[in-house]
Amino acid sequence: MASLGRWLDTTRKRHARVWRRVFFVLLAILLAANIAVRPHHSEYGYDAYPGFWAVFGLVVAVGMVVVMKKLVYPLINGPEDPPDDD
Amino acid sequence: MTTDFLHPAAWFIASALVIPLLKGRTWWRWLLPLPAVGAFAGVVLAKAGTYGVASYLGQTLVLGRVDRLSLVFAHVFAIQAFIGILYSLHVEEKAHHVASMLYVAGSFGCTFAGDYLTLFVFWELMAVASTFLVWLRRNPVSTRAGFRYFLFHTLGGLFLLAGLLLRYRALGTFEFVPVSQAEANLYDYLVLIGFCVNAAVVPLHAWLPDAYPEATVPGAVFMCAFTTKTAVYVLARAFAGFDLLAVAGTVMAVYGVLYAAIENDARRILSYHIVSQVGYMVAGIGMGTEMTVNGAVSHAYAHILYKGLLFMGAGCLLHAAGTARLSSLGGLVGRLPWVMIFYMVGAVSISGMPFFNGFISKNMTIHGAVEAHRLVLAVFLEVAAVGTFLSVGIKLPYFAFWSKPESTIELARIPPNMYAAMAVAAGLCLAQGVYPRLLYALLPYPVHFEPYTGWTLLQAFMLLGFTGLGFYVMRTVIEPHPGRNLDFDRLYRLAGNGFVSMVCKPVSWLDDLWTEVYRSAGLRGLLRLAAGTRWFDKKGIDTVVDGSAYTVAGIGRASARVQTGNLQDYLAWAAVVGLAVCGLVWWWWG
Repeated sequence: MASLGRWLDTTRKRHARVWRRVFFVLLAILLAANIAVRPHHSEYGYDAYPGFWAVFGLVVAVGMVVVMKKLVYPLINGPEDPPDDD
Repeated sequence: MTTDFLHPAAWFIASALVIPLLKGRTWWRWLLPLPAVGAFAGVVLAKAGTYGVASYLGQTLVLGRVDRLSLVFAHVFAIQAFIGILYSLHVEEKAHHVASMLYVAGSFGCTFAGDYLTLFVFWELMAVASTFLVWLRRNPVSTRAGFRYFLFHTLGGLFLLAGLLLRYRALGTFEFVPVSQAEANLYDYLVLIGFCVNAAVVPLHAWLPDAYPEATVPGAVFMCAFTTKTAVYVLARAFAGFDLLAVAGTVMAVYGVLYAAIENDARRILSYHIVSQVGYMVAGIGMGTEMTVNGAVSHAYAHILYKGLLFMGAGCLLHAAGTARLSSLGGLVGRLPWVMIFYMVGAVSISGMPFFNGFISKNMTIHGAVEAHRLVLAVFLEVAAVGTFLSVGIKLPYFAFWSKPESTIELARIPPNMYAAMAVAAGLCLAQGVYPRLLYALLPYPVHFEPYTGWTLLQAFMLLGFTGLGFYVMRTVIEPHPGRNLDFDRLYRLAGNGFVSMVCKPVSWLDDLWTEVYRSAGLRGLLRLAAGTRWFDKKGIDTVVDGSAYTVAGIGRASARVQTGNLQDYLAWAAVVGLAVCGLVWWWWG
């Protein structure tokens, strides 16, 4: 257990750049594959275009964070242990 | 009961009765998994049919309606009961084991109930037993959260009770059977509201993210599996095809992920994701086609396993570090590598990553929605899928295990049984993902869905991969901060406090009035009495009456002092004083 933990910790601290590159390369491969692999019959219409689900995932994720954290969060956030009103 | 079916609840109720009688500190804990093993064997061997028909007060109760729908839920309940018990094996407190056994028994009782009376009894058993799983955390925050949880479930139970009684008056039967939306009456909707409270349907959901993060570490593992999924079962049993549920479920799916995106407490993030995941099930039931109901049931099955695993992982964080707040954690992977690995199995399962069980169940629901031409709902379910991976799959593990300087919190040792339970759950999540037949063979309808094609694999990896890119872009924005977000529970509390003052205001007004009456009539009476005795005293019977005159005047002064401002004191004193005044009046004029 200790050696696994050590290896993961080293990876976390030192190899971030390598993992980031691997991640970007994988994303590029997925996009490239989407040019060849398409749905037999598109379910939503737009998903017939290559890269649709990539754009969908990215836009929804970024949009969700921006809307919730920047707009909604300041409005509804309060202390961690709200005083009981009883 | 016949030999073909031994009710699984019997194992757990018997255990709950026996546990308090056992002596010694440790040995009996090794026997705790026994009821779960027995229940699982019973479920596997059970043949479809109706068992345990009893007559009580002129009503026919059906304790054991065994069919494919009840069996698939009982199957996973038995497995999760085993995992939960294994996870809590180190707990020495017998009350905790009794509470979890009764809670699981309640869930089995509901699953096999063929009539609303039986259902109601086991439904309430679940509510009471699970409340103890919150209270046994034994701190002021969980005590308050437990009371709120219990009150809200009592309210839900009352809706169910009102519905089933009105239904009985109209139909003359308690039979628990499907209702079609076209013929639904007010009483059906009351029952539906009762079910929706337990299914955490927005806006009746806020008890869940309020109470679950305050439960005991193993208690939350039980709770995340049984309450909402029992509600999913009863919805699937009675209300399949209610269009309202299709929309409500989709709202839940999105609502939960939006809140999870801004939460800080790991177990509260996971709680919001219960709301979201149960949303898929409720939506599937609401659409009501064979594929969507199959999707809902399989998602319930998969969800119980991976959500239990996630709560076990977050529970390990809480157990070891003493907190599950992400803002206080960080970089723990070096010290808790296996917790992270098991947690990640749950995380990729819930996110619908291929080769894990969430993928084969979630996609069935979404695909079913598309086939039912509910495209808008399907798109929102995909939005929820993105949000799920964002919060549970990346944000939570990233800020707990990976990012930031390593947390310097001293970690308590995690007992091996907790690791073992996580290993079992992780193994099942993976096995079902790789061999979908393990799950599909149990579903109520024949399955016409192939989860693994080149396109579905690519679609899933693209969706998850680019959600990851979205997180990477936004990683500094999404960083969790201490704080609690406003949700409907604040509204419940306002309504609750409003109700309390609605009851208390008239009572305290009456009390004020009574005090006034007492002051003007009773006290004056006392003073007059004192004056009378003084006059009597003056007449020369000093030695006899002096003492009593002082006593009566003393009572007058003491009663002026008891106006403490506490409602209970007022009520108690009002009763005492009322009695005393009556006594005096009787003595005076009698």
